Amino acid sequence: MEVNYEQMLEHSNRNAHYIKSEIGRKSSSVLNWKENSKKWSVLEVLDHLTKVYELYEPNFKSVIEQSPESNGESSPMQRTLLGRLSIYSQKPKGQKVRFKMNTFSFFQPENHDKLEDAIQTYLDKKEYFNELIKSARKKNLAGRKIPTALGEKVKFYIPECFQFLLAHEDRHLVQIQNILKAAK
Amino acid sequence: MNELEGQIKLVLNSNFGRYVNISEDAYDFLLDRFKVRKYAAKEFLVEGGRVARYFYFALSGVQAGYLLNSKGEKAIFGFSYQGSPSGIYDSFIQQQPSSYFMEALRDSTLIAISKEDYDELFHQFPEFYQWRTHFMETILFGRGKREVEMLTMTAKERFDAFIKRCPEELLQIPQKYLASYLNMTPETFSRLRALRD
Repeated sequence: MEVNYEQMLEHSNRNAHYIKSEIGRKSSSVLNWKENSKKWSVLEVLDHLTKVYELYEPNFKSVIEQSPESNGESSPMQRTLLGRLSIYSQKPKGQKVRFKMNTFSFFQPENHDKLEDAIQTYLDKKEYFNELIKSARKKNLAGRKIPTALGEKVKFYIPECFQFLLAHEDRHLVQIQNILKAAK
Repeated sequence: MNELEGQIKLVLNSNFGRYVNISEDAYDFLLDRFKVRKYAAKEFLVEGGRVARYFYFALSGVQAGYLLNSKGEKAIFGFSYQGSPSGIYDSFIQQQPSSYFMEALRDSTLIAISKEDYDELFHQFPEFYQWRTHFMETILFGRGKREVEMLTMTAKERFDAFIKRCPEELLQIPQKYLASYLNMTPETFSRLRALRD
């Protein structure tokens, strides 16, 4: 589905609000709870999301900064076939995560004794990510792509890469909700 | 008193001063707690999905309030401009994420008060509830009138009614915003405007 910058910003804000208002109130024991040693805790999920945002930030920043201002309207939302497929595969269907996949080693969370600031660190990353969406909205990004974690040669247009990261985040918010249910 | 201070006092007087006899202490409170905030064109005063942090009065510029329909298109429900209140009031009062956006359509200067200070204003100076009652009535009657216009008037009648009450600065913004506010296509708006001119 085609989305625009305002929709992505609202989506991103709502995700951040959920983490801040719902997850931020949970006890440390709940946030660190995991079903078994191979599964992630809530804080580990947030640490994973932070690592993903960290990887993409510099590329977003550099391309957006170097792009010209738009003349009034935001630039059209361009899509690649692989981008569409990736967004579709990441996006959960209701409360179900589709197309399970292994996490790249560089996105694996830290040991959980280092995760006491994981919520605030994640929220700081989200704040910056939202600023990037707002900056991109004012630029002419026609034809501008950035590399993805899927490989240096696999590049997405900037808006579809925002959408891809939000779909990926949605997937992990479902995971968080499932962890919380299991922890009860 | 510089020009900005003059503008601030004028806006405070024309809003609060019409309904409240503002004491010296209350005036000092207002001048202390309302802070000047500037927004460039296209910047958001309030973002969808985020809690509205401030209630505003506009000193200059034009700001539009809108929500996104299922296609992601902006559906404009109101404007603010020099002298008028601005912001997303329900999100501000309830401190819940906003379902609406408020965006500066032109470079804008506003004065803003935080929720904490807004609550403190009514706590310290309860006479300001008179203004608040009137403010709520103005919103309620305005929304009712707009609903009647949307349900009963033709596009031309809506256009004519809007032009009669619309301040000149609103006519300077891109037509698509005015067309959306009047629930008509930009083409229809443009045709009606050409007929009028």
